[in-house]
Amino acid sequence: MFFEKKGKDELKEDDLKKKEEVESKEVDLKKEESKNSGGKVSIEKIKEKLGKSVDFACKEFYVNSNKDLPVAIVYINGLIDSLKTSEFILQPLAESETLKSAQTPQEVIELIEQGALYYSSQTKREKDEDVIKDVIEGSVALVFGQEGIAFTFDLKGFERRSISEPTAENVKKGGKDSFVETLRVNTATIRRRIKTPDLIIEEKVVGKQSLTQLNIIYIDGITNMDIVNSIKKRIDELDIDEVLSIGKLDEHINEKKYSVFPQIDHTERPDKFCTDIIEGRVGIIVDGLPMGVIVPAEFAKLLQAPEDYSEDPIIASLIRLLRYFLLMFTILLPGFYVAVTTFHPEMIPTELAMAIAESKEGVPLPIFFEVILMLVAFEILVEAGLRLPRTIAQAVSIVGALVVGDAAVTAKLISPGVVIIIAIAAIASYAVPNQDLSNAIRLWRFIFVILCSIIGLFGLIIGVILIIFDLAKMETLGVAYLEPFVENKSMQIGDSIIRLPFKFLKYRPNFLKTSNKKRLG
Amino acid sequence: MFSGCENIVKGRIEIDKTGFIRTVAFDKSKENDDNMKLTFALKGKSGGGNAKESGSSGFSIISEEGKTIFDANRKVRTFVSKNIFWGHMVFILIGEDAAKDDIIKYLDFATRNQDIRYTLNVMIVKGATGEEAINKIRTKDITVTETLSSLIDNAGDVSVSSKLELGEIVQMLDSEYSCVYIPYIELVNKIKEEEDGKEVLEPSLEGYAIFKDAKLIGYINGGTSRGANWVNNKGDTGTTIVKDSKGKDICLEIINIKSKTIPEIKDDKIKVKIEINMTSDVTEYEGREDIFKEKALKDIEKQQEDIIKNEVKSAIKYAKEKEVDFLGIGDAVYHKYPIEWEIYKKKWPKTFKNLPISVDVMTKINRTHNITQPTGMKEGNKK
Repeated sequence: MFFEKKGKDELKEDDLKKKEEVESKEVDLKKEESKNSGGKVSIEKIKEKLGKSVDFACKEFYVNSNKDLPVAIVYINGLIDSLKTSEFILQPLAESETLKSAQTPQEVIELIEQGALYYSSQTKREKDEDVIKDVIEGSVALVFGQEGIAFTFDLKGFERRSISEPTAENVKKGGKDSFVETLRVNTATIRRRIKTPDLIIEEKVVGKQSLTQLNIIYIDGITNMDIVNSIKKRIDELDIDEVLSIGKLDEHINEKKYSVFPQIDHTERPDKFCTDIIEGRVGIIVDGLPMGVIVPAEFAKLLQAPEDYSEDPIIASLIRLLRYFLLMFTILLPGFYVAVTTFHPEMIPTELAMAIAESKEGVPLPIFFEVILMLVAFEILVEAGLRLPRTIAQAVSIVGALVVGDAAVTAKLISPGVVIIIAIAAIASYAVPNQDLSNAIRLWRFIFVILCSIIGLFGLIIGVILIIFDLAKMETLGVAYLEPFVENKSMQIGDSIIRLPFKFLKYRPNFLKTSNKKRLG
Repeated sequence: MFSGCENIVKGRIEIDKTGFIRTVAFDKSKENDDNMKLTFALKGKSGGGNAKESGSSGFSIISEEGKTIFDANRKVRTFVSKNIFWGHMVFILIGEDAAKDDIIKYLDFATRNQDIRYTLNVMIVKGATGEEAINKIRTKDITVTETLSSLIDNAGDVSVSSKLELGEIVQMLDSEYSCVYIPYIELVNKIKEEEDGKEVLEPSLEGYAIFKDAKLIGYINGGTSRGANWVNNKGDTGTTIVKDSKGKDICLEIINIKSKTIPEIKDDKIKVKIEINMTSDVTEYEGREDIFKEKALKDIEKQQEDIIKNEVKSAIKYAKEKEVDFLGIGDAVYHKYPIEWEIYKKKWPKTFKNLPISVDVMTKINRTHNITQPTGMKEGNKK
């Protein structure tokens, strides 16, 4: 019985599919017809697509209460501004003197086209799909069913977050605004900073289900069009259900997918975003994500912070040098400590060596395990701190770091030297401005510790060679990752490990191959 | 859980299992002439054996005899729980008996071992063994190594001795024509103090032990060793006491002293001239005269010149008597006349004995520190 039933169901399904196919063919045919006859929008079709949802609203009425002029208004509740809708659309339709003269629907359409409804963003649609797309994006559609013509009005009015201060990238001197989730607000923020008409904002829609709008931003005449084109090509190739998290886009743009080092920069600061676009990079903004994506991002760029450009050049240069130093420190220090304490005691000054030996006395674990244990404990604290509510997180980190740490040292489970080393390395890792880069370094730190625990300082050197190999072979959109240090013609060191005064930074980065090379003069 | 992982990787020694030794003594065994004795202080508990805890500083002193130093070193490992690490060694003390025996025999291990650095200091213990020195030197609040380090650091203040690194000593030992001098310490009891009822002594850096054919033949100290330092450019500063016209003492501090050995071969005869240039300051004056007049200064300079000249001459005299060229004169001849040197090389000790060496001292008094004229100088004397 059961099987038979199922069989029947299957048959039914098959029938349905066939029906659907037939229908879709009919629709296709109709489409072609509509193309030929110039417009065929039907309320029934729209209702069929959207009518199953509760937030869909469709109201049929007559222009000026004239029974000869039926019209339907279609929108999605919550996406539109209902006040504006009644003020600019419904009220004129009911009361307008100009529209009173109209006797046939054609006349009404002509009058609306000529501006009888005084709302600026008004689009005439002749296809169902276009109307549905507009309605979903937050437009109000005015459908003339008999004529098969619709007008859509962009009357978005959903709740949006207002522009607030950046949370992750705070600077002392600089704008206090940040990107928000709404795409148009973000592009407006950028337009307000870059007023040249050459600023191009191109739109693409990605995600088969999410239909997310995505804007590619660059400056015509500066940006290398090869980069723009290959980004566009890659976005077109993007075959994905949704782009609701930035990683979905990043992973597709990245050329080398198996390196932990980030090849894309993200920022929530419009000023940083705009600076990079003017420099000749390409920006991408995705609707719903409060951040800008900057491509290509090379290693040196990820170690630059927005403050560098608002500080005195000497101070900024020293801070950058410090950042490079701390970067090396945080990668190498735990491994170096393991190497010198287990393989090369001659590398440590005598007094220090004796002090370390004394503090290590009675600790059961080898230093290698101690270091790995502490590194893992640190990662646990970081991860736990991220997940927990902010108020509890503080308590956890205090208990984790102070109480457990201190108790572990007192109980001689961990030697104090290791605690100090891991603490220094952990603090140093936060001097890296880019969080993704910082994460990559945290991973490499483990590799270094393991290498050093096997063959000491030789392992350290092997690790350094491996990391340089990994970095050197990376390339994003034709830009080598280690630019400008690998440039063979003229190395533009001026804005990399140091930051020269702006009068010396005459040219845009040459590795971006910008059409306009000069920044000054 | 990790007990099985103790020795996954060969060559890995945890730092707390490493015994750092910084001062080590090499001695000749008292029982058996052929044996050598190794003594060092090790921090922390180190197991049973001959080790005895000394004082509250947590050092135990470990001694062991063996056929050679390395043999003794290996024997030590049978009873010391720590892995002896030589890489941090700063001082080698060699007992007098060992030095009289053959110093090369004792230093070979130190020069051959890959852990030991050529920058460590070698010292001879006069009239005692190295073991005694390590045992008796005060260790209550300062380690033997720290005491010896400060001696070496301060050696320049009196210039009777100096720091000599293992590398330099090996270089001297390798040279066919020059003789070895190594700083020596003497155990004295200047700071009267007892430590746990045990007699404690202080090391005192006095001068140089002189070697001929790698065997200790004698010691020089005081003026003689200062003279040797001036010639070898090992001296730094020092004081000289001269007298004014009324017989009052004037103390001069040597600020800068440089010497140059200039050999000259004329008609197959070697003549050597030692030129010393020095400047000094007046640091103390007992009298009330105005000594900063050209005549008085000339007189002071002359006296100082004589003092330095006498010191150098006494060093030369000692060298000539013992036929040991520890003043680097052979070196100077070789560097200036490498071809002629081949002839003199073989009979150098004899040639050196009868070598005419002249000493020229150029001295200058520069400054007088804060005051020029002594306090309480009578007006009448001002003219």
